[in-house]
Amino acid sequence: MNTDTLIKKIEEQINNFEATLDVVEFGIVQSIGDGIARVSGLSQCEASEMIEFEDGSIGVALNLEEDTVGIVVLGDYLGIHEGDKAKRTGKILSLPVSNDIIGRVVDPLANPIDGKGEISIDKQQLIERVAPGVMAREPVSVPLQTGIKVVDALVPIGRGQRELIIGDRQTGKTAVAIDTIINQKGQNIKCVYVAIGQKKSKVMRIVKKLEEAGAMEYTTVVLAGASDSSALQYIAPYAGVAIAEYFLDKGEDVLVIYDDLTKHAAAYREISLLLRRPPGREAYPGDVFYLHSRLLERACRLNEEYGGGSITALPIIETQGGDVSAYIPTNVISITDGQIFLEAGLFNKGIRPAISVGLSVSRVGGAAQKKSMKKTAGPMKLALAQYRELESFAQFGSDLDSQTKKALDHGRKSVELLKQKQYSPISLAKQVASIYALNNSLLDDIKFEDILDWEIGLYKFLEMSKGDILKSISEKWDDDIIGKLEQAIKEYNDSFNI
Amino acid sequence: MIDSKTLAETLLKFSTSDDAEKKINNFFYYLEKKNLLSFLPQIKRYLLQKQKSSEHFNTLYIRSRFSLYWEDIEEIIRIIGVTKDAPVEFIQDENIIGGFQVIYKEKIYDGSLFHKIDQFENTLIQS
Repeated sequence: MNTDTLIKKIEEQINNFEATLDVVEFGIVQSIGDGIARVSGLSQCEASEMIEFEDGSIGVALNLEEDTVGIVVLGDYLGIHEGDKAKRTGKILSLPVSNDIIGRVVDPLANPIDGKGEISIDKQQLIERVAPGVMAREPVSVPLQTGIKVVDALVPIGRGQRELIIGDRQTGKTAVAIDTIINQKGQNIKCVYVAIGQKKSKVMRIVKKLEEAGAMEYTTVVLAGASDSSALQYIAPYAGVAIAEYFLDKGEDVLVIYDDLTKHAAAYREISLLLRRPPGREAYPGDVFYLHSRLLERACRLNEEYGGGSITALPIIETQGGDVSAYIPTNVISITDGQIFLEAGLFNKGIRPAISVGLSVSRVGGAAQKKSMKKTAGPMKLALAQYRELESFAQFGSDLDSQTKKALDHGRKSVELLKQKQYSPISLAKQVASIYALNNSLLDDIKFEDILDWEIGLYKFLEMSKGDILKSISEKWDDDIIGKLEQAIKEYNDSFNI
Repeated sequence: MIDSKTLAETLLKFSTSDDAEKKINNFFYYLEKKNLLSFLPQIKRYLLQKQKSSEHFNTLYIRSRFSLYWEDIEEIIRIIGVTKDAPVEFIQDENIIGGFQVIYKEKIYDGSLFHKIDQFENTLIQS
């Protein structure tokens, strides 16, 4: 705002000054501790209303009881004392958003924490909002390319889908999410990465990586770290989806990653126990399912009448000892439209990303795949399934018949081809090219140890001398393109085998 | 579960009912019989707090930058609808800059200049 506008606003205020009375309801703090304030009075207080304390801190009214209101303080509560006044603001919890929030690291109240200055405000977005109704939605049919071969081929994700990333600690869950963000460059998709209860050092490494890859130009990071209060960790995912909804309302596509919802459930458990809500299974409150269902239902694809935008959600859940039948994992599995299951065993064997093809599923499936990938990935999925069945027989070596040996060899090469380095997303066309080669026995003469080198060489070859084929694969898939692609791969193979 | 707050609330209810004296005597007899006399100090503390907050609740607090005439205070009492016998406490406070602020029964009626400037600051920030 420039000086002239400022002066005009001040003059306007002076001219329109009226000696009016503003009436605000207040209560008295009865007790304060562990981030929870119990306030008497506030008889007209609404659920999730923001309450302002005398020291300026803000809380959210979560428990409306007979005599008191249980308020969760957002931020530092040490400045609040017994006997202080707590005023109603009349506002439900919301955060200020605008286009300038892109590229920034913010806390769950949209306060910038990256030291790059203030963020302008376009509107106040409600943190809790009812999910779009059935008639406003459109079926998921547009793919969201992650750039990860095994995901795009075998567990495809569509725009508007909820795909869970689940696995033990240190299995590469965040790596899958970050690679997906990096691959959205140039796709006109905004990304929101919500870090819940994470180490701030880890989040800073992620931000740095995104900056190096140029991904921060379209990404917002919402951070409620391990040292932040459980109240901030509780609202962080809702803040993330509220930011996403700001862009959804403009008809844009958004990707939201919640890393991770296990810590979110633990933060909510802590708040609920402090509010003396009755504990249920594993001490979680009875509405822990609703905690995640109302969050994930806000991911959707809207029809043209409502703008045609979408929010794709990739929630992350951490399991203990690979137990997917635990309480929170089963809750979230039942909500989402599929899961990507990462196994520690595969990770330790060097198969990275450590995605278990047998246990991973996408309920949207081929509807979220381009024709070229759909036609190519089918045979590969079958081959991998056969390989899993026959894998235990591999130890018998020479006692096996030729067909079984062939299936095993094909399966091993499939697994090897699906390996991928971190921060190295691969375009759809290149993925189709390499998988096509595998399916059509064009890798039979390539040694197992040379597969990854072969793959790198193929991509370079296609980029440099067959760029038109790559472009065509992205747009259509017919006999003409298949013929050209096969010819190109054979030409490359001849030069590779020299 | 028996706690001092429940016992204190029960005692308050008895004190406003018919044959209050008999009920209160029975109440103390009950405490003695059930070995709950140790709750008495906490019950007393709770009732004192309640009395204090009730007094505070029914008192009209007026903050003003300058002294007010009694007619002005009566006008405020009339506008807000304060009960006849409610105690009035006047506080001269330079921090509100101008105008006045009234606190009565869980409501703040803010007509101070400080509040107006605060609102204006928020408007400018949001612009």
